[in-house]
Amino acid sequence: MGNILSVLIALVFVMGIGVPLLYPVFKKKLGWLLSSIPLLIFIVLIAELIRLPGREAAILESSWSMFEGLDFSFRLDGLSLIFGLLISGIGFLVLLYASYYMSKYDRQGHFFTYLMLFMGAMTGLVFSDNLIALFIFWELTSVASFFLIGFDHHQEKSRQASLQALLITAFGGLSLLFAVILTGHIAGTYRISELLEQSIHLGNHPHYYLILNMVLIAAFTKSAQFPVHFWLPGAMQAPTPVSAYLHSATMVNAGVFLLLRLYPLLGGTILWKYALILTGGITMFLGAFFSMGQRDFKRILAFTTISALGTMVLLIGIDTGSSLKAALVFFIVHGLYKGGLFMIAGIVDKSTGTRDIYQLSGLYKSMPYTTAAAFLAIISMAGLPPMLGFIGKELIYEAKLQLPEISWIVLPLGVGANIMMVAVSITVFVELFLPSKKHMAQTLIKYKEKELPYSFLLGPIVLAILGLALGLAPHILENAIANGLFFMRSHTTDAKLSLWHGFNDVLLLSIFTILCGVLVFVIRKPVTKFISRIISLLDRYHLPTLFANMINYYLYLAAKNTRRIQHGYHRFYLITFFLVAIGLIALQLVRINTVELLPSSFSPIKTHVVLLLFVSSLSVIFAVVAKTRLSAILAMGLLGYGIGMLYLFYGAVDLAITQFLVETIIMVIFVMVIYYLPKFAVMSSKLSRIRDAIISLVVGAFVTLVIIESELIKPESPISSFYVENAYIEAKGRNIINTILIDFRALDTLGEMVVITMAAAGVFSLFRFQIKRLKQKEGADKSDGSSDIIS
Amino acid sequence: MSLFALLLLPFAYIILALLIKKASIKKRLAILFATANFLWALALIPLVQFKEMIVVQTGGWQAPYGITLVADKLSVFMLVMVAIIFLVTTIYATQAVDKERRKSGHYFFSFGILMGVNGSLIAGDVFNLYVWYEVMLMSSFILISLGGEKAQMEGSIKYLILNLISALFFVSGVGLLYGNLGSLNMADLSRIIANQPELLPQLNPALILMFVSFAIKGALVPFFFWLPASYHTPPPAVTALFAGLLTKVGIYSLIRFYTLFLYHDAPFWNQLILIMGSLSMIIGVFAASSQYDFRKILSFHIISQVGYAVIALGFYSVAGIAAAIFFLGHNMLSKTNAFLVAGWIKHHKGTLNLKTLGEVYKESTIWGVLFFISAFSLAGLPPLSGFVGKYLIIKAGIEANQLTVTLIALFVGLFTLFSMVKIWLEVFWKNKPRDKVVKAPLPPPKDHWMLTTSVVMAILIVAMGVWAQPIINFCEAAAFDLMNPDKYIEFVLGKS
Repeated sequence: MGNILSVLIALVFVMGIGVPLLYPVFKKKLGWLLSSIPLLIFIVLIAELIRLPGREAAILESSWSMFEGLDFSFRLDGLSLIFGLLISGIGFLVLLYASYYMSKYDRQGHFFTYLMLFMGAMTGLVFSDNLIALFIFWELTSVASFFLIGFDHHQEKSRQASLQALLITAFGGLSLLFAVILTGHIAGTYRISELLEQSIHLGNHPHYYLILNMVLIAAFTKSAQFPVHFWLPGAMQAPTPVSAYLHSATMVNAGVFLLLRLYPLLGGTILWKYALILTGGITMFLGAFFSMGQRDFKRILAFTTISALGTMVLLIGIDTGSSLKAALVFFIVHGLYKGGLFMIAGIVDKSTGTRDIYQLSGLYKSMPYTTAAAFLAIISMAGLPPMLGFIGKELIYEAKLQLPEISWIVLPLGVGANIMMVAVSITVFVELFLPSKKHMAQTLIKYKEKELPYSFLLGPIVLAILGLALGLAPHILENAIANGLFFMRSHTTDAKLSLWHGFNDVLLLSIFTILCGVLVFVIRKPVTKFISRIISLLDRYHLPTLFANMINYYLYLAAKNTRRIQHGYHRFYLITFFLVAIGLIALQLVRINTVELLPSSFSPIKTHVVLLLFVSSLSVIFAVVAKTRLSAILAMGLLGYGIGMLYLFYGAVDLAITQFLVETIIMVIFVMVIYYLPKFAVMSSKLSRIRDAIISLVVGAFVTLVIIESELIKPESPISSFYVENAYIEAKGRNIINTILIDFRALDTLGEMVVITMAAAGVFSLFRFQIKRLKQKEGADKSDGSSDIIS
Repeated sequence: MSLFALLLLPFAYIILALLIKKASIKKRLAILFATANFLWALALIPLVQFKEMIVVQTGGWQAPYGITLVADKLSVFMLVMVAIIFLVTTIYATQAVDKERRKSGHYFFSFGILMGVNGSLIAGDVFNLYVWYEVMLMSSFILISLGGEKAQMEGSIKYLILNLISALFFVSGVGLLYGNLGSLNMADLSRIIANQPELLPQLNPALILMFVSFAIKGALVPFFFWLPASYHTPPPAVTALFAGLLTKVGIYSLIRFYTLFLYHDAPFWNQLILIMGSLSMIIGVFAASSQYDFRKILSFHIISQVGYAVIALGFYSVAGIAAAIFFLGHNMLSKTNAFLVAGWIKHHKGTLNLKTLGEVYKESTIWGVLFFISAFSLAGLPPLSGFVGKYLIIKAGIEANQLTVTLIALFVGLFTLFSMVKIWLEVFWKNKPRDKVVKAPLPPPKDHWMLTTSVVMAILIVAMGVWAQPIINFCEAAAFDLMNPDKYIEFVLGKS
């Protein structure tokens, strides 16, 4: 049974990539075809859920691995099942929904490809039993969401939003990769099941803080926690089905999933608690607070998502049995209502052409079913009974109350956030669906609900009913949650869920929250004005703009400094090369104490050698200061002959002859071409010449030092004696140089011949080719001219 | 013979191309010889797995007196990669390079490069290595300048002079080393040093000269200036060939020298290599993101990517060296393919300026897909080859306890991603700017071979990621051999 799951997940990817082939066949029915796969996954998972034993996890081994340590085995436990069910279930509804929503778009095929890859990646992520595989799926969700957010890529806004989302989530992804590899290095395995079996906790490892920080960066960036939350409202640039999916069950929830998944490895320390509680608490409150100041339905929902994610992170940070339970329940609750509400936003948008809640009103007349679904979803969002949302909120309050030492900060933030949630929920519903005095142009309504296909309306209705059903009979979930918690806390926690907890302080707090929420709703006009004022005040620090500015500043800085590094001045490139090389050599000479090593016992130098060196040096100096090319070349030739003489003095007759010949030929060629060269000009200033002279002298000095130093080491007799001995006997040649060139090291000669051939052919084709090009250009110019005359 | 063919095949083509006049025959012969070279390189894989190493003593002179050609697993890995790149770019060039250039010896000089590269990869003798460098340098210089456009001339002069400095350093190093140790054979040199490892610090000045030469060839900071100055000037097919081969040979030589000589003074060399590698990674990606020319972005990027391979070498462990080798291979494929896409765009749009391009994704989905496969592979995203390369490097870094350098490598990846996405957004996604009308190119040229070769490369990139294990195994075996230089010495010099 379970192995079907692996096949199905693979099928999601295959179908996604295969869309270009399927699209021409199925056309508008493609959405239906594709949606069958998540539906199948959903059914398989339900079956697994029913069979799931209380304290075990099913592991599906995979036979295939990309490389050692990375396999695609899947792990079915309470945690992954809860996430998987939501991903596949909502995925199914979203695909149906999208097949109508996207029908007017170009490039529908692309859309479905991205969406399927996204779905497959997300499913793979939650079921992976291998941390590296988890990372791979994690990155794939980032990439797929990049394409989805930037789907309308002719708009600057979409491109900006997709770039920001990608950079921020990829930053988290890299951190995750590092954390995962480091963890694997410490624990010796990447398999989650093995890590859990050995009950490894990294809390005492010296690298714990590094790993934890990296994981937190990954989770917070993905789950849009303050202060990197801003990519999420931007991500609304994606078509609405994507938003519905991204916010409810996938992408942003991956961060929450990661925290839950790694909780047994990393959780429970002081840093863990405080980091999660503070970040989560602030995010939760700010998200709810700012949602009230928005006009766009989707934007409101986006901010409430941020708040909800903050809540989940906070709950995981509170770190008690009931708080983890609350986090899981809240994830389900949120997924159900948020998915539904986003789809409703899409329906409203399709049928009226706007999403501004203050322009619309009284929609219940034209869309009764949608209104009913929205009613249920919004009650759930506000956390009112009898919806699942109520149970979720009760659990949250309970968890918060259990934490005496920091409840003074958590509780006000939590209550404040919930008050705003209640208020914004009521506001949205009243403004959109109920009749009011404000005037709404009836022409706005393009489609009535009846005119829309039922597949388009199915999603929100199903999700709303599910929310209601789970609220009335919450024990359906208990099994999965208990299983998930078992692996996290290694002991069973009471996972009883019920609507009525008895009359206690939690209930009082709930009632207080709702009353305050209603109060805020009643005075919503001044409140929204106040919040919009704050928002406009904060606009100077508008985070997406700040981020964009940061990128621009980075680009500016990079451009400026690149011009400094790659400045285009040839001489400075050369100076850099020489100075760095000499610097490195100097470092070595100091290290090995050359000066001390320099021997006092050099063999005495003969007078004629000194004379020769003197003349050669003079010729070098003359070549440098020479006023004409000819004299410089002659001076260089003199140097060449000098070197030849040196060979001669030390007995290398054949070398000397070669040197003389080469020098002569070079001089002759130079003299032949010299008349074709332009006039000798001095281009450099005096100062730069002095600088160059100093650099040359330094380089020369160091090279001399190195040569002298190298005289010290002679560990073995050189191979050259072999050539002397064997040149005539073995290679049948009297001239040793000749035998070396054409026998001992003939391959070198072959190579050099190729070099010469290349050079000769190069010169030839460069000349010929350029001339041809010039001719062509002339021809082109002429034809251009003539066409001018005609016109 | 088995290694000679790698030199003889390009050499034979060079001779034939001198004799034959007809361009179409030259083209066909080029493809034929490139294919033969590829098959020959492939055939070396089982040989090297079975016999460990292939050694040829040229002219029958026993090492260290003659010139030895050696191919171990690292050489063969590189040879195969080079052969792939060369074959692909040769076929690609049939449509991407204009007829004038093809007539004037485009293939002739390309084969010169191939001969130089092949020679460098199998040279077992430091002076012979220098000769092959010369062959490579001369052919590539002419290939850059071929066509004689103004930008080309400027670029090629910088290329030539800065690379001549590299040759100067190298040959000085060779001279000093020969003066010291009296031998040119790499295995022999390694043996002499291994007998008295305390000598190495004293040999360092000579080795630094050679190291700088490799660093210039490999375009490491601060020796990279020639690369961004020249790579954007020749036709994109030429750049694709260069990007795949040239810098990688420099890094190959560095790996070779490191594992034969430098490791005796590991404290100094590791540090130097790690610092230069880190700087290359950072400065390369930094400069790349500032550019607005498709090819300049990719060119600066080479510097950054070479840095990755070098730091992996600096970890000095089997895992590190294996990672460096794998990364080199991946980079050759991905980078070349990115340039192939650039070539198609240049061909069809007449420009590579990010500011004037746009909407390419709308016009051609397939080239868009090809680009993001290569670009995202360069950025190290799974499941492409770049991800595996990055994973191996980071893993090796963590195992070597070099966390700082590893973290640098990790987060440089983010900036790599940024500059790749920058190309993607500007070239493929944004609307074509209305005010800057680019002259429509001549009737759309045929591009089926360009497409085919690029698709093949993309498939290879994906395959190298998804079926990475056999390649990793090979790289690890190669690294294991490299970490035991005695084996190399024994194979070349015979059992003593």
